[in-house]
Amino acid sequence: MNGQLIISAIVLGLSMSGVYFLLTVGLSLCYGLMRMISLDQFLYYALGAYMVYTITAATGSFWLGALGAMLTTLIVAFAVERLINKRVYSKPVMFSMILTFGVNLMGVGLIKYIWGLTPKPVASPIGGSLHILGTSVPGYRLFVILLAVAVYIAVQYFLNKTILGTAIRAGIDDAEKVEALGINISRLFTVTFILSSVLSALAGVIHAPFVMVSPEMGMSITAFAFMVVIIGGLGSIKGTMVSALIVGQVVSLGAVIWAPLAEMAPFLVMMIILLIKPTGLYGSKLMSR
Amino acid sequence: MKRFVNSWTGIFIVFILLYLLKGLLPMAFLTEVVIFSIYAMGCSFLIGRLGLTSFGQPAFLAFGAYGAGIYLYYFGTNSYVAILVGVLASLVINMIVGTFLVRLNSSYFTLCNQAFCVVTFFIFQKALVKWTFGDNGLLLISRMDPTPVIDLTSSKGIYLFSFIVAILVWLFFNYLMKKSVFGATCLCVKDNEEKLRFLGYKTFNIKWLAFVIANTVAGLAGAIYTVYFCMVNANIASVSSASEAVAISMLGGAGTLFGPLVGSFLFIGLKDIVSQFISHWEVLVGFLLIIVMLAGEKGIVGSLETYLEKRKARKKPVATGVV
Amino acid sequence: MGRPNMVEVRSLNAAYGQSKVLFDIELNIKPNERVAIVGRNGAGKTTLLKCMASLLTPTTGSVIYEGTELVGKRSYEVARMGLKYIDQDKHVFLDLTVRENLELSSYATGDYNWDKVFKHFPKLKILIDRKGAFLSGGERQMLMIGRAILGDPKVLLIDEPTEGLAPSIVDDLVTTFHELSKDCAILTVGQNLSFVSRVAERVYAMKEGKLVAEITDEAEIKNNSYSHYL
Repeated sequence: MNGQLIISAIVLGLSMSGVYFLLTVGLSLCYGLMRMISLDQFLYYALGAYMVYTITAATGSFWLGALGAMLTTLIVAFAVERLINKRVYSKPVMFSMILTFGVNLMGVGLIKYIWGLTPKPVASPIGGSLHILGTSVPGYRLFVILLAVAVYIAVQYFLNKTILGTAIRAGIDDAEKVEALGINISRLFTVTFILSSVLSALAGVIHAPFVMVSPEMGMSITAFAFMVVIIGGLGSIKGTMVSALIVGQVVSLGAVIWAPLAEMAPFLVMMIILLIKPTGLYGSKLMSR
Repeated sequence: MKRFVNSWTGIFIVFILLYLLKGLLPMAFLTEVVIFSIYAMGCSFLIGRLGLTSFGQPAFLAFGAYGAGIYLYYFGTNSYVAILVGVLASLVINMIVGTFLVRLNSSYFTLCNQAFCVVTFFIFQKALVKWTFGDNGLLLISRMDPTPVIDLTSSKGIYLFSFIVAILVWLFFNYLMKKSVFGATCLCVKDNEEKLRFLGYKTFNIKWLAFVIANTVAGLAGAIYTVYFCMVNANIASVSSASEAVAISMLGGAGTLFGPLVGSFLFIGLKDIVSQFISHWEVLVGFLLIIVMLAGEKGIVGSLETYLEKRKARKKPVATGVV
Repeated sequence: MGRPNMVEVRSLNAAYGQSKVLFDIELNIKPNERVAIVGRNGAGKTTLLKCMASLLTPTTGSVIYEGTELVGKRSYEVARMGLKYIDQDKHVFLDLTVRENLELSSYATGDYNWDKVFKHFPKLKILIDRKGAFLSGGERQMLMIGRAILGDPKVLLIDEPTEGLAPSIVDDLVTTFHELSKDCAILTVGQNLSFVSRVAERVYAMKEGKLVAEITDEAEIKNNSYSHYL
């Protein structure tokens, strides 16, 4: 084991953290505000990856693909929320889980139907590499890390400095009272859901050049996403960020030590954290209701 | 009619019907339905009676399956012993895993459970690849001797066996859900865990026991599955099949006695039929899940029970008290 | 009194599942009136208020506010129309500062005139950057009422305003209620009869989901001589 290997593992871990963060911030927001576990976020993740593949193949521009993927997801998520998801907000978490799992399953089936089972490659839009401490680091990975940081700052700004964000934070506390003030909570739910879904799609878009785009990609990232939200605590954006960092590093450094550790080590970390704090690092008692 | 749906004699009637169906439907289909109904029983119990949604069910199926598989591959040739080993293995693992998972509230439970399932899949596929041969799996066909009384290596024998096991499991769950205090406390956990705690119950113990029972039954199904297919590979724990147990439970009606059987029958039947026309049956399963959840989450048997109860209530009007 | 009713509740029934909680409620509020509903725990007072604010849907009956039917409307629409409900649990948004709490209400109603809030509750101006989690019970009650009066509501439905508050703060609340009623009608609910006797012009007694008496006589209200109804 040498220094270069470790540095490149750390950078890889950071870029994975970026993907995890973008994917789980939606799960966390949806749980916080709507008290739902939105498993269909994984569908939007896969959809984002497929749309970026399709549009990139057609137009040659990854960035146009990214934009198209996010717009498509916006429309799909809006339709799903209005037609299906909004009916279970008032019910226990279990309902939303099974329902959105059904949505996810149906969507994955449709993806298989449209794009087939063959994995599709997406070329990295940023070539070249930088040298950090004598280690060659692909430029695209650095871009992913920066993008995730930018999204984190933007989400924090949105939640803390804008009136809509304030309403979302208030709704996380008690949605009924936000409505009693005269705010249309149902519209707030829609906005939050679409925001979450678009971020999930962005996760799929930026993850696509790392992996092959396949129908099961949503399924295979599920476990890591769950570990991230659990370690961080459902409903906490800061917790999601911190635990995405932890899980990213554990995955990539674990893989350096022994390949199967990549999957098992984060699970062990999660179990240890849950033993100490059953609601995750930043999850409050309030959230465990 | 009500009595038929709820009483244990119903179980026998249903199974006699199922046995008679043997002439009409392929044996392989019926065997699969019966094994799946055992498998889904635990999941249905967890969802319907405890309010714990378990998307990690394949992991618990896999423990039983690998318990039986590893015994047959490395140690013995007797299928009865293999099933027993599978059940014991899953019992021990469930007791350990349960202490970790059951402490969590229901949202965290579900997420951890599915994460656990993925980890189990990787353990069997990669970490223990020396012993489990990963995706290729353990091939047991030459290692199983014919067993006395019921020959588990014959297709007829395994059908009869799983049939008998299913009846026993169902009688057990019938007792658990309808007759025992434990079943009642489980429902209380689903309804309001905190209040039950105030009453002096240790809810951890209730949930833990329910978790162990439900998942050991899944392990039993896994062990029978191994013997039935004469092989076991890592795919049995794959998350993509995590939907099956939940879908069957919801379709049939979670927490009902006949839900798993009706659900398995429909699910496997639809899967067989649909996959002849379109290759991606997920669309249909997803669609059915959405419909069941939006239509009031009771499933087929659940809706039937409610309907019968309502009809009974209409015959004998009960005065609604003033609160 | 010749004034037209501002709010009229007509034969309102409500139930939680199988169990009925409200039976044929008939109630009216006139502009700038201070009305109280008194009753024991579980009499259905909170349910009635929540039905009026559309937070719960009654099984039958209607709530007419300035000629408009409220049953079936969403609760945010009701709040924007000027009928605001203030919960009994003194729950302000814990993660939000006083300023953000007020901003949220201003955003909902389009009324950014905070002076009237500070006129009633000068203390809120000092606490403006404090988070809800660090406010005392009395301060929370001030903030709940303060953010509700943004948007110039015509009716305030205040649930158990005195619950858990120190006597001196209750005295302040009496003054506040009198001042508030210059601009809007108040329907309050409570078990604190001495508080009710000091603020209410009219009292409804509620028992087991029914309004059993309406007391309009000032002396009777002053002397709490209606307690035999409860």
